[in-house]
Amino acid sequence: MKRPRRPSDPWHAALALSYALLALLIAYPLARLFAGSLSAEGGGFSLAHFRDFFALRYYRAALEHSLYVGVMVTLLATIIGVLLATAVTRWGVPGKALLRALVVIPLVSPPFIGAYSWILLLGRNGWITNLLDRFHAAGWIGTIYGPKGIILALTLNLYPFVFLMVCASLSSVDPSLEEAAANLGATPWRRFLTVTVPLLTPGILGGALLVFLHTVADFGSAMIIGEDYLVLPTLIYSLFINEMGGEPAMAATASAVLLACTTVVLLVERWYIGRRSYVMSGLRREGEREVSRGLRALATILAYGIVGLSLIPAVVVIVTSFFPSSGPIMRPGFSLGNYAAVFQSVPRPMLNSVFLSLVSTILCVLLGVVIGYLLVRRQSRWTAGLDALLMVPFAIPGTVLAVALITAFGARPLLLTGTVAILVISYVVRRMPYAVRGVAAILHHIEPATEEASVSLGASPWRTFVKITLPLMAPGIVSGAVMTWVQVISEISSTILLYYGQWATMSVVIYQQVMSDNFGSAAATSTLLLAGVFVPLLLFNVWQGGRAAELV
Amino acid sequence: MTRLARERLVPVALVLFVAAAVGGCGHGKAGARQVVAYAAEKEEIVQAVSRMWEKAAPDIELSVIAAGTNEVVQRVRAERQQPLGDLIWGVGAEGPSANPELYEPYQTSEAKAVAPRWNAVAKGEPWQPNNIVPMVLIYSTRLVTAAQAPRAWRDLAESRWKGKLAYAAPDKSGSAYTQLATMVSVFGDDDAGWKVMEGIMANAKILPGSGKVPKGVADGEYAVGMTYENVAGLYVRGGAPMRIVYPVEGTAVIPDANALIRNGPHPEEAKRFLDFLQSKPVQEMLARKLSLRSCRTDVATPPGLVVIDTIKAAPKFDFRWAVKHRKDFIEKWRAIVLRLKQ
Repeated sequence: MKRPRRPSDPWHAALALSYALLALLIAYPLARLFAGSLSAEGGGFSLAHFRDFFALRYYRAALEHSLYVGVMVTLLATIIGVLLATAVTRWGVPGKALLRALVVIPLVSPPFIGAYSWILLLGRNGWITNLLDRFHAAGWIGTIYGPKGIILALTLNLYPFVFLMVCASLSSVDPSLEEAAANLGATPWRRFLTVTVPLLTPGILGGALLVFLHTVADFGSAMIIGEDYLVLPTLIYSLFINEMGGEPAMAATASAVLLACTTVVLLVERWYIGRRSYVMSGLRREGEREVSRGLRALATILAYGIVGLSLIPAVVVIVTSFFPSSGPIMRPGFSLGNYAAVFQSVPRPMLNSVFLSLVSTILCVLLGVVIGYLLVRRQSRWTAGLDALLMVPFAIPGTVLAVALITAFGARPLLLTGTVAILVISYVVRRMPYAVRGVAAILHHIEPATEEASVSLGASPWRTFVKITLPLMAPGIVSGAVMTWVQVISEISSTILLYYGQWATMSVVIYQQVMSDNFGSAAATSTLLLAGVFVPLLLFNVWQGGRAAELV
Repeated sequence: MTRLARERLVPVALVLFVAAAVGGCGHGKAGARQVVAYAAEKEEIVQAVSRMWEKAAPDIELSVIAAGTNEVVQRVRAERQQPLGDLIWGVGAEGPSANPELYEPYQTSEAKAVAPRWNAVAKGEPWQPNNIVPMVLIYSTRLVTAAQAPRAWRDLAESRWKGKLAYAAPDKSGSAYTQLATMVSVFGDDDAGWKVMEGIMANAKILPGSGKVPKGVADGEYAVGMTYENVAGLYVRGGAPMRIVYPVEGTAVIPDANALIRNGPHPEEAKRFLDFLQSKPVQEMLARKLSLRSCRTDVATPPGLVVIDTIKAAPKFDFRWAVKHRKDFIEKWRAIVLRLKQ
């Protein structure tokens, strides 16, 4: 794509600023951390650790497990996410706003709660296992522990990423193309596979990428449901975070291997997307297709079925929050005792969570818009480096990142530990890549011609961006913001090392309750957290729904 | 909902929600005397002690950052250039023992009342005991009868426990490492001893955290497990179908530690709080209400627990010996686990 050179492009300054920011917040802390851990082993860089990593089964198995789980979860979550998004936006499934709000709930529940719910249901002594056992059918499902459980928990936890990004893509795909296919006699199914899916490729691959990155970096589910099935993040954690000192050099090696995996996957995605063009003239956006009543009914059942299934962990948490509990033991029944127990301790962390998520989301979205735009519209050698830097947070477990931030910003002149700023930094560093991905996926659909027209009519590049590009990007920005919001509010692994004074968040409170074996309180607090995330999202969706209806 | 309501009310509600969030986040008071404790203690312990502290020292504000032992120790290490915490509280003693450069040895004003065998500072350690914890076995009464229950560490090697034994990974959990070292001290650090260990590991499900063992056994996910007394006691008192066994070969009794962080921001306040933690009223409250065995000689055994003297100590187990051989024993353990997986 050739574009005329413009004098004094503000995007050059934006590029420079983005580099400076990412270098300070990502490259510098991690370089310090890893340099320190490598030199502690006796100085100099050597490949001995990498040799050990691939030579020893203990380490190699973790890599194989991570890749296996990553591929399986990505495949399953992508299929579910694409079907669901199409059903909701195109096939007229009733209750759109509700479904869109419900679908993000799995992303919100802290993983140690979600995965535990599956054990409660499908564990060796789970409710469903025992039920099946009565009919001597427990063998059908086998054990939930190990890869099967991780895949189940993560698929139902992460498909909303695909759903959100595909929804955003769908709303910028001109429905006339599908209508044309319908007029030419294509069945809905054929239309879906040959017209809709190919058009949605950037959204699908963007979502799949997020799922994969999230899966291979997931710590919580693997920790709880993996039993002795070691994956890279649990390996890194046990090598790095250890009361006795750990093996930081080996942890750095394992992190580098994880980073290599995620980078390769990112490059493949980039290469695939780069081969074609997905731009839309964007004259018509939203639009429901007329589909047969049978298909609509089927889609409705499937959509509610899938969403319902993925809500099971949340439902288990909500139900058990009303069980009477004594210490760690909960019994079926009804009681508000758990809520009474947390009533005093919850308001402040709730406000902290909302405030921190809000600030971080705003920052993530601002940076995401700027960097996402740079990556897609101003592609060059320079943006490739930016893209690579942005991959790093995906591959670094939250705990390791937190230690890196403390190391980098724990002394003058850059003393930020003990302030709320370091929490916000860790959230922005970890979650901004999601916002960038969301924005980048949508930009692939927007025709540069509209922007070029604006520039040639005399508008400045900045004015063009604000007046033309930004409104067209709105769906992508919204989905990016939602993803960031729900991810930040449930973040625990870096928060637990960074929070200070009165800044404990809801996830910290839940974590401490779980650590203290107060599962009743943890369930009650989780329920309140879910409500705190769900209510604003529902309000937002209803509001958005109203707007979108007017546009059509 | 009408269009008007949608357009006007919902944005207003959103704005109010945001405003409430922002408004609610004013900062705490600055300038007051305070002490910052990094605690690996359970919520209810933190709350109970905080309430007592408010009365005992109303002039010093206590700020508690609570997390697991791993996170607490990691945090202190990460912050060593500019420590933000003053002390660690209720952390497995292996942590400060393995990183003495991060802590300042401090002998509390209560040291004379502490049983001499737990006076660690006198032995050159940088920590003081908070409470003491015996390692135990547990079994699920739903899956195992009292007659079938294991009585000894060695019993765990019997093939009937295959896949039914819960054990936390000793390279991740300090208490699990203590259990490993206890077994080494019981079986012997030689080929025959490690052969028994291999039999046990062939049965074990290795879980990634110590909290999962009692929970798993209480839920009936595992028949038997290795854990420590006070967490097992919590479940038993809560009514979990589970029982505690003190192995006949003897077991290790180790302390949970408090320690002063080197160069912390409020050393004087921290020392007062460390004195307070070992004081008789606090230790008595913890024993009576929260079943923590006191490190003091003048505090009674918590209700429902056996007197410490009746628990047989593993004759060859020594805390410092266990810390010293950690790397060696973990490597031997890993080799076994890898061999078994193949």
